[in-house]
Amino acid sequence: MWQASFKGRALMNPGRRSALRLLAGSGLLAAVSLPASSVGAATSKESRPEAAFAVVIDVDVCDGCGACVAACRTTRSVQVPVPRQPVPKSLWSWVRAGDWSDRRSVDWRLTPYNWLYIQKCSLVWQGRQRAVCLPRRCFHCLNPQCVSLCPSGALRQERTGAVHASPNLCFGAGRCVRACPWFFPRIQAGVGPYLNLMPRVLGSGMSFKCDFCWERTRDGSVPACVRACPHKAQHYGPREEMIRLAEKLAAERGGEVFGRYENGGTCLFYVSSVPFRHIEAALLNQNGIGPGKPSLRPAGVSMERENAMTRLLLGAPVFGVGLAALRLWRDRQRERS
Amino acid sequence: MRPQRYLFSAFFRCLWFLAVLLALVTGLAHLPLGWHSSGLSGIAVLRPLLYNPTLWHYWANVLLLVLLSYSFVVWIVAGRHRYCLTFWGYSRLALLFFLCLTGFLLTLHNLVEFSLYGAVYPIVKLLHLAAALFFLPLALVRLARRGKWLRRRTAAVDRYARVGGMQILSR
Repeated sequence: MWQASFKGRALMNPGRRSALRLLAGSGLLAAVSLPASSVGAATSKESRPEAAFAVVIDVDVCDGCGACVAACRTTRSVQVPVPRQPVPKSLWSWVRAGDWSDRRSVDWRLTPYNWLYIQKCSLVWQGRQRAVCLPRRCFHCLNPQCVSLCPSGALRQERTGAVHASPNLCFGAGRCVRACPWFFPRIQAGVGPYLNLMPRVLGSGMSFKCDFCWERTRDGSVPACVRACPHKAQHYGPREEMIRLAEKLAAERGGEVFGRYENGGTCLFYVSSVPFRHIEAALLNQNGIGPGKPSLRPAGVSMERENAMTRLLLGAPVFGVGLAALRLWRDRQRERS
Repeated sequence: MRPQRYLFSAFFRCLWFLAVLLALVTGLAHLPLGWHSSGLSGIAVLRPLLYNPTLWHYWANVLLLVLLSYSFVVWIVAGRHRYCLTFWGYSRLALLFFLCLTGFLLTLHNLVEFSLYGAVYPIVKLLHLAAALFFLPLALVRLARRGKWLRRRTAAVDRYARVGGMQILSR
């Protein structure tokens, strides 16, 4: 009897039942059919720290010779394409994307063609005149909000910690520039896939920044800037090892580490015997901070406000079910009365 | 007792409309077009949404999830014998389900403890975007008071469903 009635009900409305089954099945399928690489990709950042690599830059050893800058320019930033001329003018008058193609030789600040530069200042520390040189490039945060906020999904993070942009997806929206606490990404106009779609409406170029030599580091090699350093001021290795090294160097000199906790943790640590707030002050006084010349300001945890709402998001369906139960109970009470 | 004419009240429908509208506006504000148009003086009211759309998108999704789970339970328990989903309803439900799934992964990615590495993240993000872009015309159709979610069952089917239900209950 039960079977007959069940079949009858199933026959009665096969569309709805099959569609609901299809919905449930598709969810299950989506969960199960994720490729092995993606399942592996979804790993905890803290539980698998050995996967991430990091660089320690010893500021006390760096003399600003510029070998790292030259190595970066010859290996990585030389790949930046030549823009189409004339550069299409954006429909939005307030969208400004610079064309740096005629200023490719600029190496005293960050540009689309210069992903690493030496930030210099001089200061007096413990009664002694000091010249401070900081090779500045992207920190490669552990939880980069430039990746989270990129509208087209062009920016991505690798297991090694490298954050890089896909040239096929970047429309130069510039959100990554605003999202970065230090404004590392630089936009070059007249290049990128937007030229083939709606150049005046969609975008304004492409975003460029240090990509941690992601193809080299993926294969186990050392980034070009680290390899080129003649004074061994830069060290590269697994992040946990680099943290230990940075802490050790800082403890030996009574100095500080910058980059370990900034923005929730990064893959680039500066070690200096001079406190970084003094270096920041000296940079400010000597016009060392500005467009293309990032500051050393500490940054809070990435996506903190959004992540604080995760529990609310997860609890929302439970709340909805509770409300529904309340409404159904009320309806039943009314029916009884 | 006054018979209930609609499964969901006008207040619920108003909230649903607002939640969908807010989710769509804040979601699309992530796109380059939304980002660029944030500078337009004519939409100064929307500027907070356009400057920080992610936070507002989260709020919209909280509201949407509450309403979605509420309506789903109410429909399953009290409404499925009287109403059935239309083609538009199925389409919207499927897209909402997919949006929830990909949105959940994106939300997880934003957490410090979890990440989608390599090409997986852009794929999930673009699938979420594609589902939202498909959902937009469906929402507009409903806004034009066409393409209802539910339709009343015919009397015969309704009676058959009741009989079937009684048989299951009596077992």
